[in-house]
Amino acid sequence: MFIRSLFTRPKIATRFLLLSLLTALVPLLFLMYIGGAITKRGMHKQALNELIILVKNREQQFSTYVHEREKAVATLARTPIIIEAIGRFDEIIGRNGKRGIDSPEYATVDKQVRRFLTYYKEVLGFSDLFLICPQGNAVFSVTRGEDFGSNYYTGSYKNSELAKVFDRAKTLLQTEVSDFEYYPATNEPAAFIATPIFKENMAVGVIALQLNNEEIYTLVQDCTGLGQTGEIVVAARKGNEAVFVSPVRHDPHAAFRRKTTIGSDQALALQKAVLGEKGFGKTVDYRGKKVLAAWRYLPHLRWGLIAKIELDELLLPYIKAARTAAVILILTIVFVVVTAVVVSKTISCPIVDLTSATHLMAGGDLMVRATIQRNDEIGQLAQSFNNMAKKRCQVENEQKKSELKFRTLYESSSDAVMLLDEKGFFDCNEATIKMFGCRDKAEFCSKHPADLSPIEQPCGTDSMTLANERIAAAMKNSSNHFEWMHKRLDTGQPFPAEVLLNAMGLDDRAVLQAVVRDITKRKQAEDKLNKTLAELERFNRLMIGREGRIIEMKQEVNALLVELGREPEYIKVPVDERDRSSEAKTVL
Amino acid sequence: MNKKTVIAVVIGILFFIGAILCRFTAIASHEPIKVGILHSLTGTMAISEKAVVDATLLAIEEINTKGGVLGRQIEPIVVDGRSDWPTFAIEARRLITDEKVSVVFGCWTSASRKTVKPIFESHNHLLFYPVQYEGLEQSPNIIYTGAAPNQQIIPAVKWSLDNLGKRIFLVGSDYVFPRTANAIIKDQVTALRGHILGEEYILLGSTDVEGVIEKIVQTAPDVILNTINGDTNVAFFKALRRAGITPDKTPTMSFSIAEDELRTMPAQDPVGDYASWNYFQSVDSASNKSFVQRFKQAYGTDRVTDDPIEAGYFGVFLWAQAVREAGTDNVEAVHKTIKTQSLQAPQGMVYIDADNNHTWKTVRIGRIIDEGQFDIVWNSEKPVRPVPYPVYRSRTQWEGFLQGLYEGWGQNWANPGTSEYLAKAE
Repeated sequence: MFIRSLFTRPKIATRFLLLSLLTALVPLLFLMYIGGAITKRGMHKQALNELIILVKNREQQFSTYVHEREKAVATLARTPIIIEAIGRFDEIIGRNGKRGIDSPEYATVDKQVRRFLTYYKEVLGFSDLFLICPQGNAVFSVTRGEDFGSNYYTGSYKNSELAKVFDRAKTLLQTEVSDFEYYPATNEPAAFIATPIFKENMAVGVIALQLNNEEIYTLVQDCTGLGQTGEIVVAARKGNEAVFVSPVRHDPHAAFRRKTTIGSDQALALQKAVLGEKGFGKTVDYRGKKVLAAWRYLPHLRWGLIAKIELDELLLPYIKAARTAAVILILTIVFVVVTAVVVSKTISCPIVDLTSATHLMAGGDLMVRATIQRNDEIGQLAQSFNNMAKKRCQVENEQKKSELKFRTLYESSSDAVMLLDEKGFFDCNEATIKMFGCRDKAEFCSKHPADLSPIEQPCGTDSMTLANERIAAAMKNSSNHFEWMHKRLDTGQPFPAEVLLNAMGLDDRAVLQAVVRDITKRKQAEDKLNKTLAELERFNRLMIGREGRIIEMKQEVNALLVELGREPEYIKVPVDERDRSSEAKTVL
Repeated sequence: MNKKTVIAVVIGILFFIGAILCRFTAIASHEPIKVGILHSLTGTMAISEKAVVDATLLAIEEINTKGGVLGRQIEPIVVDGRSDWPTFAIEARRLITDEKVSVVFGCWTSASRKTVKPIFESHNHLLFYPVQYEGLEQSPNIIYTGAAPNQQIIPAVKWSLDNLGKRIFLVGSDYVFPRTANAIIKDQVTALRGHILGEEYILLGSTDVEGVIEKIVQTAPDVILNTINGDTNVAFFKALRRAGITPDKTPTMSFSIAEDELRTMPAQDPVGDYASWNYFQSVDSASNKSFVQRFKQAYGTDRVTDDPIEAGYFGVFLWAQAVREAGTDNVEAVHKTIKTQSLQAPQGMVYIDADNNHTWKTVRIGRIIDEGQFDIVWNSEKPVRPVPYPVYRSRTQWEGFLQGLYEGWGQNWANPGTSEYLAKAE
């Protein structure tokens, strides 16, 4: 219906609909966009803050974990039983070499400390506990692994992390933590804490404890608060590679197997973290997935720690919100369209009706009326239209009457009245048709004035030329009055006529109104009168001639009398007519 | 709808959108962030401290070139401590209360640091201190980017005992740093079964070294541990060589001679001896080479980089990182975020310890070669956790030791050099 109306209805409905959609949808879409962006940004910010806090807490947990163990080891190193034992072990091994560990003396000391140290190791959750004398001999181990009894300066474990941390603790005289590395003696990754043992301000050995891997992994792998895809990744730098040191959520076998080359385009945050940088933001993880991450450096174990969550997961609530927004958008469009159609109907339908009424009126139907009964502008417009139609009717009627009057006047006139323009006649009255002996108006209108005249006018000029001259003169001077010889079409009988040409404007064009009066009878009467007058003249002349001769005779008489010497008998006659007539009277 | 209405509506909508966008992208302050740089630009310390000012300014310029911090430029306010501790105090207070700086990078000598420490603490402000020092201090308002004793002295002593010999002679300037350093060294040498053959002090700035040289010649130690500061070193090395003491027989391990100091010494005198630092210009890494190049580009090819210069440089970046994380330059907020900041400095990874505000740093020992450079003979491979109070004594014991020195010098952090104190020193 909308589509149809879009084409069939006048433009106003379409415009109104588009405008409504525009006013409703532009702010809505804008708000949805801004709202969406704010929501997205807010969600990212919140998620990022959570990650930052999480990674910070995790770092603190690690620090606390390491610090507590450092303190525990430092405290242990100051217990007399340890100080005593390392001295005695050192002495036994120093005396007997490596074989010393099998000696009864060693067994005695071992028995004294083993229980305490085993208890200590288990309570504090260490995996193993070592006593190492300054020369590097591993003189005691709770679990007695393969490295027990070897020398950390010269033996097969001299390059192990335990050997390194032992040397550092001994050199720097402080508690040291090793890297978390694969340890050949236990065949698994291991980290150690070592601290020097002092006896009377002399360093007499080092105590080293192996951290519990399970505890480390528990700290690392706890994904609480990281959603469905989030995970904690811990890696260490080995040369030019960042090596995963623990299993991760998406790869349970990642520990010491998964590596990322520093400088590659994957696991960028991890690379930064192992290089000692701290940061947060969007990045790409080791699987090439886009993630939001926060990362830190854990200096104790030289680890890079990353907490991350996939962006896609973060976007889920946003996508849901976007879907809801889309539904709202569709509902709004439907609502706007329906409203717009209804409203446009109430506006445009009356206008359409009014328009068709106008068309009808333009077509001549003056009785058409708008049937809209409303008080608004459209109602007023309809009212105005009806008033206008009414007025128009009245004017038309009056015009008709007036035209009829004039038409009657025109048609009933005995004078021939005709209208012509530069192309020729285009209208005439009945008198014209009779006067010129035409069959009908059409025949008359097809003729030129010259066709209705003899070839020549009495003056000798040909009718065509003279007619055109007269018409031109009338056009120029706005009227022209002259006598003309016409002829009838049916009989060819010429007749004199008096022609009055009047130039006038009709429908914006110049036309001439010609009134032709047949003056045949008048001419006849004139001829008769002229003849009578001529006769009278002749008679007059005769009369005057005779009287003249009498006067001449009287003059001759007078002359004769004078000759005769007598007084003239006749008085002198005045010369002017009046005197003569008065003389004549007297004479007569 | 005529054209004018359409235009009006469009303009209206654009204004509306513009207004919302302005609100949306919260307009941040673009006021520059003021930072104070408090070092001696005149006086005896100027020769060392000016280079640190240069490094600090270079870091600020590099940050500003990359758009500053939080979109704001950093505006350095450089003030002169004039190698005079009361002036340091006055200028520190002025920077904090009048200039309202967000942080101060400054101080070299322990004496100047200890003078301004109470000011920073009472205003709860923030000072980045870029020089290695004797430790035994831990202020919540100072970030120590130089080495703590366990990051310079202790490893160097151990290395000397292992590689140079167990018979040791201690010589130093007579002020708090050498006295404390030697107390630590004595503890360590004892623990490692070494022998202290002598312990001598020379007044700061004095060139009277003959007595000390005589004692060294008499005792013929395996190694001399040198904590002499300033010009005295020139006289000391000259006198050593004159007395026939050469590095091949009796090497010296110095704790206050870096590349910048070597520039002021006769070229051949110290060659073959050792020094311990966290950074040498010769550190072989791409990031260090780039740093050295940038420094020389900025200040001249004859210039060198050294440990305090590098510490002054990366301190600014650590602070900027903390500001970024805090989202503000507010001192209290930065106090919280500066802890656990880490980055790749020219020397390698550095990290601010959350417990003691000192920096995790790599320890290096270098042998002096020609051209005033060092050949790195040992490094700790990993950053060493800072321990401001060495473990041989408790914190209370150490503080008692310091207090003893301070009172012994008549409420001074250096031997005033008067006869009364000289006698006491003897």
